[in-house]
Amino acid sequence: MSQDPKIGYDNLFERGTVTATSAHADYPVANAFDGFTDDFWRPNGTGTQRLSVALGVATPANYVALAACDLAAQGVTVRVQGSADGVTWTNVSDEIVPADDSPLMVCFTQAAHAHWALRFTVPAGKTVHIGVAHIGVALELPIGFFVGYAPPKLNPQVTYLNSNSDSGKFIGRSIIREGINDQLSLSHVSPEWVRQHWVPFAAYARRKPFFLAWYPSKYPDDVAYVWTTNAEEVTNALHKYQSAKMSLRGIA
Amino acid sequence: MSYETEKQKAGREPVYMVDLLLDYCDHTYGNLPCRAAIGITGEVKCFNTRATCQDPLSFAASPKTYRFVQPRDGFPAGFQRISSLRDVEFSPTTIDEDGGLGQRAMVTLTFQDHPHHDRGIDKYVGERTYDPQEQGTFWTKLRARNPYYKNRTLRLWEGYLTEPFDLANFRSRDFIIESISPPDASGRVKVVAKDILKLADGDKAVWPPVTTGKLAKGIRPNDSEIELSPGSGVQYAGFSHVAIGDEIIRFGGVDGDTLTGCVRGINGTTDSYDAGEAVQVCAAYENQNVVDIVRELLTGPAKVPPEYIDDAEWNAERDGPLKTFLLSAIIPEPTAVKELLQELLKQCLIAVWQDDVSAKVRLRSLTPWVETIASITDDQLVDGRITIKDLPSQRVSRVRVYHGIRNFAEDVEEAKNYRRAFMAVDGEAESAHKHNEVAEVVHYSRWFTEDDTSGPQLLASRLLDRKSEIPQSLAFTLDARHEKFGTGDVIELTTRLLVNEQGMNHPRRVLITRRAPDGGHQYHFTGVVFPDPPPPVVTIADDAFQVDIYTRLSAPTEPVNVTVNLVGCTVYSGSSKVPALRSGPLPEGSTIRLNVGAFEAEAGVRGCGGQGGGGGYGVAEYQNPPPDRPRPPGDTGWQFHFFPGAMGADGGDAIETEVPIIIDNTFGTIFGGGGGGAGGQGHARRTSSGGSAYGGGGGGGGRSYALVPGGQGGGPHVYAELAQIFEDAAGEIQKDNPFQNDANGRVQFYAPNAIYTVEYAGPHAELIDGVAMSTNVDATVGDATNIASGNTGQTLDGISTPGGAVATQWASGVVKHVPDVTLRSARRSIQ
Repeated sequence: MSQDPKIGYDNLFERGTVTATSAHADYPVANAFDGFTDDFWRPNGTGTQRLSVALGVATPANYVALAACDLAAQGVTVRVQGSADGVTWTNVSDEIVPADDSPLMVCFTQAAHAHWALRFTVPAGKTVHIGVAHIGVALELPIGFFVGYAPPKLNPQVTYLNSNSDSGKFIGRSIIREGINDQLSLSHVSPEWVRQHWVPFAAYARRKPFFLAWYPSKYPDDVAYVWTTNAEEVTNALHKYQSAKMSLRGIA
Repeated sequence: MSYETEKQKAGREPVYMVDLLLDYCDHTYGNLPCRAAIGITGEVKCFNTRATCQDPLSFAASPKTYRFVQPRDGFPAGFQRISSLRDVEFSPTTIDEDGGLGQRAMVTLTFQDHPHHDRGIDKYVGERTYDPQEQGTFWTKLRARNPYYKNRTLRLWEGYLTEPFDLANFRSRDFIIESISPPDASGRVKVVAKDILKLADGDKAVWPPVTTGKLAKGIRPNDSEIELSPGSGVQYAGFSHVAIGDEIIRFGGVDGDTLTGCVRGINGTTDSYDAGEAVQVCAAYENQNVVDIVRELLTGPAKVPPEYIDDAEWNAERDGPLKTFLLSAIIPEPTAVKELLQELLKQCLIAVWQDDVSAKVRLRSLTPWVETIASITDDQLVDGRITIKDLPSQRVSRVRVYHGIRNFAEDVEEAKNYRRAFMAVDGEAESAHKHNEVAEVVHYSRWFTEDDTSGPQLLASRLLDRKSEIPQSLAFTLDARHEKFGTGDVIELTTRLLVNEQGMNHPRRVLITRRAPDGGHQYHFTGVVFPDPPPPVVTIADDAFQVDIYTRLSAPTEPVNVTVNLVGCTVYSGSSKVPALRSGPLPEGSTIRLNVGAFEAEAGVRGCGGQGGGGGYGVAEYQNPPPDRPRPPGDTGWQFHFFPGAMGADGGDAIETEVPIIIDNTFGTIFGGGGGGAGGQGHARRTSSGGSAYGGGGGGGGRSYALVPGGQGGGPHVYAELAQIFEDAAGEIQKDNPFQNDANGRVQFYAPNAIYTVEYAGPHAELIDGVAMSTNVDATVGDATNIASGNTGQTLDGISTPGGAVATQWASGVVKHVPDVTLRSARRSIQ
């Protein structure tokens, strides 16, 4: 069974006209796809709240990803929908019920629609906040992450400060930084794949964060929302292959 | 949840947040009352800030909060913030241990600049013709739109991330923005803000205010009215003094532009002045407490909002350790408030600072003997973070205070401008066997008057108390869990580095002069070591009724060695059952040193006088002989019976103690209450007209202190049966009672051949004069002079004069239950 690692950087919300059922004046819908985790779209109402994008032409998508949201905390479910006219919507995915509010990436059978939407069902009395929303075609990596790879969710990078007393007692601990550090490293991939897939992905990654699911078929919850900490590298390898890598930080 | 509970937890997640509160107009562009219009007032819409406003008359600002956090996980979705805060450098308030404003708290914040979409900031972002994400950066735009940021509020939040997030886990503190730098080459922006007392730092805060009035016409030395330049009189309302040239003039009122009721030459200088001479208002203080002056300066010219002042705390200091600092001065020219505050605070040894947590402006007298509020040991001190330093250059062996200024208009730091100089010297500290060095501090005080001796003395004694030995400073670090006190508090510190000569830990008292938070993880403290406190002292300088030392010490639970000074007063009681002065239930192990007449000011302790005894009575009885038995020769028919008066009651004790006591009575007198005199015995006798019976005189009351009456004398008894036995005109025995009491207190009754009169002394006997005791008689406490115990009345044989018997028997037991009593006959020097 392949590890089928996937990267979610393609985001149709950045390529069309985005509207929402409602939005608080101070927290507009644009906050949902600007990549930042410290601002958010906040619908004004409850019940069905649709975040939709009109693309003009049928455009494919096979994944949805969310980060910096409070869906689980607010009891909100989400479903991916497609439409030809932006009026009549067809369900594309099952109803997604987040187990927690960590980053989420769900793949579905690829389809093409001129209008795509995330339909949020917000319980009465609740207010949901959507920090980052993606929908698009996931980049499937040609090789998996095997020996030596540190799954981000299992390797939180935590910086501690301890206090020990003058008499030798343990008297306090503070966690001063949390998050993940990760390394996206692909060895021995074809130069053609690099040029066709890595280069446009890296160009995007220079500007904005993206989603990374290292083994979605087996550990679908192991998803990280990451951003690069320095420029990517591509180096030649044996047998006319190439290697590509980038250093990442993020949340998982 | 709360900040206090979260900081106790292992694995807490400390974090800072920062709010900038900048002016933001409430109106919407072009909607009334805003009259701005595109193409008329401007080419683009404003950004709701004053600098971009196109209708300034309608500008209505409310603070808009820009919240910044450190870029880390843990903040919830829906929590509006900008994650660009990189560093928080906090320089906390530092108290000047010698008094003053100390060092103001300052915070320097570093932000990483970044592009920003303007959503949530620019009200009209959707109408702009450009992409704000691509145009300018967050901080460059913020500075351009908000050039009037100075003196606006910066709020620093210090707290802990929790799941779920809760703002209650944070505590905040407000600062005043000083500067916002442009981004540097690395895109770093620095914001500097200071605490609220910054308002008192600036040169623009002066007192008295600058006045612009001039003499409208010249004046001569005897003129009592001053005509000011037209329209300037209003500037002088509420003041009482002005300065013209070097002359200070007191005025009685302002009538339009004329100062009336002028008293010239308050400072001894009088002159003539030409028209056009400047007339500057003066600030005048007369017998005003230093705390009230400081408060006026801060909330007046320095414009510190009054809500920052904790009036209850300030008033407690004013009415407590600072109550004797009553100051008078005239400030003849506008002077920086900071300069005036520094003078006041240093000369009265007061620290003023803004509290890190409550944000209140605190005030504390720097007396060394305040109570500690917490104890810290090596178990709480973070390892390797404690250092102790000797500060020999800060030792003080003598203090000289110039006071009684001659001329407020001349140099206040010139010794010849003062009439008095007070000096206190710790000669022992300067001696060859000790420091062998003079370390002098000089104060020039325009605030202490010529007659004020208490202010200079208090300043000197408090400085010498703290600094006659080499002062020590120390620094240590605590985990946030153990941060239970702050700047200005006094704690007890026990560490292996502070030991006595035997090497045992010697707990020391430390004034915390600085507390610096280290990211919510630890706190770094600095402080100065206070000398060990002397035993508690109870000083009584006014006559006092029934003193209980236990109560005076607020019911101590640990043994105390208390010194009680009675200074020029008398401690007395109004009940012979209650001693005038008693130890009360002091904990076992306590001792008392009682100085009666401390500082050579004679004093005394007086027990209450005892009640006088009731008077005795006599009976004169006449009986007819039985009809069948003739009266024997010599038998007149009269029988006389004498009944003694009652005992007087014991006088009250002067002192009762349950713990060992040492009494220095060299300048004192200690008297037990005089015992009540016994009642006089009744008497009856035959008179020429028949028989007479006298009630005995009531006993004299015991002598007490002049403020309370002596014990009440006993009244006479008149034996009522006397009236029951008499013959009527027919020779029959009658039982009627003709007993009458006339207006003079006499009782008459009638018999066939005579009128019998009973005389007595009146309702109360006179006080006895037998307890003017100046020698020790039957005292139980050694042979010192001027200790006398109370006497107990006794029954005396025979009849004495009305007015009671002289008591002769002294009561014992002046001092009860004393395990160990030492009486010193030589005065001990008491500081």
